Amino acid sequence: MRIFKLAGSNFFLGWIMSSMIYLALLAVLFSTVSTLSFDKWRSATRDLVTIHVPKPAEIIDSDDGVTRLDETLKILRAFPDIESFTVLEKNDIERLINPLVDKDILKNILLPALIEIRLKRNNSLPDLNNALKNLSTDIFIESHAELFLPDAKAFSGAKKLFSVIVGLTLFVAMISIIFAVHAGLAINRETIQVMHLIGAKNGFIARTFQKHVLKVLGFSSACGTALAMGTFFILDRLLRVAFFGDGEIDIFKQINLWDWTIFMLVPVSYPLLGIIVAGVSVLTFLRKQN
Amino acid sequence: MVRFENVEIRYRGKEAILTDVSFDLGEGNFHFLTGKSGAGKSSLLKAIYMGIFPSKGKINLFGRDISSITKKEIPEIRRRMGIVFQDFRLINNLTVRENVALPLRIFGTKSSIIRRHVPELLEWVGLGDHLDDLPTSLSGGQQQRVAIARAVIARPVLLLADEPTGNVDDTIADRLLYLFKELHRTGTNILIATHNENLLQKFDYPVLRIEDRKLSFSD
Repeated sequence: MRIFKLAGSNFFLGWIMSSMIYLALLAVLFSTVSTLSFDKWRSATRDLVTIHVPKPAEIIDSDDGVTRLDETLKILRAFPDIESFTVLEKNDIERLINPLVDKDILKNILLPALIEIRLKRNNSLPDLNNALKNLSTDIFIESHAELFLPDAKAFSGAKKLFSVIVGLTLFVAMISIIFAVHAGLAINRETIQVMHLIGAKNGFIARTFQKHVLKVLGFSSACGTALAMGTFFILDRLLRVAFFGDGEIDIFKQINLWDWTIFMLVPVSYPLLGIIVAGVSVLTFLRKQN
Repeated sequence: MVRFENVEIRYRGKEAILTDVSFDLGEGNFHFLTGKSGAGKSSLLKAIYMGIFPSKGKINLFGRDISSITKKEIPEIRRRMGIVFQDFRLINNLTVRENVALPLRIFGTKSSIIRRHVPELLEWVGLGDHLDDLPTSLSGGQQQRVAIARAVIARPVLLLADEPTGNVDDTIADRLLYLFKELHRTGTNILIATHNENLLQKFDYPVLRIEDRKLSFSD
């Protein structure tokens, strides 16, 4: 039974809520995906270091013909906190430098040896550094975790930004509900007066408004969620190709049940919060009127 | 049931409409309230359903002094009354059936009971063929009957009707009055405000008359 005339405010509210839920879902998903990607990235690089050994072929012990690289490897083998290490092939190093340096120049550069090391624990890095510095001060260690520190800050900032976006969408959504409810109350002033004279309590009128708001918000939630899911599928395809190469990353596979639960809280919580706000708005308005 | 003791009614900043009004409507009564247009009939009814409160005197409703009734209690008191407004005050976006069902919905009556009673009552007031029509598609007399049906659907203890025959011809006015008589017979107390002297003569019920802001009583 449509007691109140709310077609105008329903249309306005429907659009606003669909848009806000859509934006909030995008923000939550981007936040989730970026966190997951960064966590994955960080865990992959946390205990990873690269040792640069300049002039690797230089003989440092003329009697045994031991090169600087040999001596470095000897230290590494003796170091207890190393899980594994790999000496990068010259081709691999050239491939890394290739985009940065011209091929002709590359031929004339004396490339350092690069050793990729996975440590058992990251806090043993200073000991390793000391051991290598004793051999040569030119050898230096590059910690991948430190290398990605600026990126970590960017990720953390992005996460905060997504939280702010969710907060803003919630704020706009709730303000819109209050506005729509007040518009509805003004339009239906006479009907409300008649209902009061028949014996309606404010609670009944508030519940009637809440039912309307729930219907609109339920529909808006479904629309916003469907739109967001469609956008995710498109972005999933685009992101794979654009940033990670085909098959490197699958957004949907990365998201677990807990993340989906948080994600689904948005289209569920907005209507629930909406009916609370609508109810409180109607009751406050009617109390002021009486 | 309704007792006025030296009641004065005035709208804010204006001269008193009614002064020193005293009367007592007990159980099982049917009264007419008459007076010229603007005499204060509607204001008196308004005071009974607590649309306005007296500036002086005491009004007692169903054994309660209305000055002691809290805002929260007003709906409960109003639920014991049925009101037929002069301008009907039907909700135009609801069908005839929905308008009449509204009080029952408000009181939380079961849907099955509403589905049974509403068409029965509308049949009784001669609108059985208009259940799903909107009020705007009905004539003045039909709208009046919808308003009456809405006022009596919840079996009120007291029915207040403000010029219920004001918008209809004499034939329909007679029919409506017979309808009120029937309601009275089933136990509803009735107070009808009207300036139609013909009705007062045709139906022999006690009359409350407002003249010069005063109320007089005649059998």
